[in-house]
Amino acid sequence: MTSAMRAAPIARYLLVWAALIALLALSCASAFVPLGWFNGALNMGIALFKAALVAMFFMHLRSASMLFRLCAASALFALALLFGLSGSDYATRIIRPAAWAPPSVSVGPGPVHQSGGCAVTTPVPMSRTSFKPVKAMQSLSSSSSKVSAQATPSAPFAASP
Amino acid sequence: MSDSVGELSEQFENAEQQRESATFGIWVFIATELMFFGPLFLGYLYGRVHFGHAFALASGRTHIWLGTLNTAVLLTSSLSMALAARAAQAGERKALARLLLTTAALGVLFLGVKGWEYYQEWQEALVPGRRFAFAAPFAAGAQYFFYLYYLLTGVHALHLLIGIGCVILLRRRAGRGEYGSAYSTPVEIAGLYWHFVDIVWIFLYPLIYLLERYR
Repeated sequence: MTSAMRAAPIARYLLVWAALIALLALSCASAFVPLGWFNGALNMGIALFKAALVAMFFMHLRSASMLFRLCAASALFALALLFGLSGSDYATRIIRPAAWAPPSVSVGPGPVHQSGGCAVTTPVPMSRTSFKPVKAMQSLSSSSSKVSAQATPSAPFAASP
Repeated sequence: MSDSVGELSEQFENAEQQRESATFGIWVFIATELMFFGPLFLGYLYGRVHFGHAFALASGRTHIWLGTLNTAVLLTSSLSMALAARAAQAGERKALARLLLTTAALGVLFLGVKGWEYYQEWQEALVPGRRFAFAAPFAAGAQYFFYLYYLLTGVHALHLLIGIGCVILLRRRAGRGEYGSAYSTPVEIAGLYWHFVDIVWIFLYPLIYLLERYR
């Protein structure tokens, strides 16, 4: 905390507050305008900006020592790890189902086939060539032979039970 | 919070180091709190992707004007808290006391409005459980939404309640003249906690109240 911060004028805080209220009004008003996916993106963008305003000016992160800014950044990084890793798990359960994962409820790119005891979703038609690496891996695996030939050509690798 | 004004604890070399340590401590705590809320937000993201329409319908049943009012109340309380920290640093004792009281009062107002919202939602059978009632094909997704809604806002309200307690405690000590330009650290770090609680709500507000409102 520097002495420069102690002399921060009241007007600055009021200005930040006014900006926050204005952004709140914008967020609320734009929710009533049909913009499809942009509604969500706009609202999240506004929320991020408001949070940045509070962090920079009310929490003094702008003039704080590097230690505090690193602390805040590490927290955000850890959160990004959570969203990235867990999110990619959930997001790919249609493409690469885990052995015991329940099928996704409503979203799916296509019909679900039962193949070797696992639920496998057929993606949008893909050429056989795109699965060459998968077939190469299958030939290397020690699992039984019913995996490769019987599986539908466009299905991702179906794990044998 | 140390018991006498401006006393240097013996492990610190000077007052500046003591203040830095206290501030670092609250930042680390805030980081852990972010880890606390983070998974709940991930759960929300999962629901938003997999039960998209049910989420939008459920969000339409929340009370947007009460939610918007509450957001404005909390933003204003952040302003008064930031001004209180500034007043403490500037040694303005009367302003500090007044601003701390304003912050606590706005926090209590937020909790009151939230409680009223909860009561309304109970009346409208929007509490997950036996009493939950929603349009049939979307009931599961809507129930998931409201489960998250109560969990997120409930935990947030708990954090706010603790914050209000701290601010009231600070107000009592400020009334006794314990904080001034030489020693204002407790007000500053309480302010950091309060702003964090505000930031959590800033993200909660659009996720809960503003999904596909144009329908």
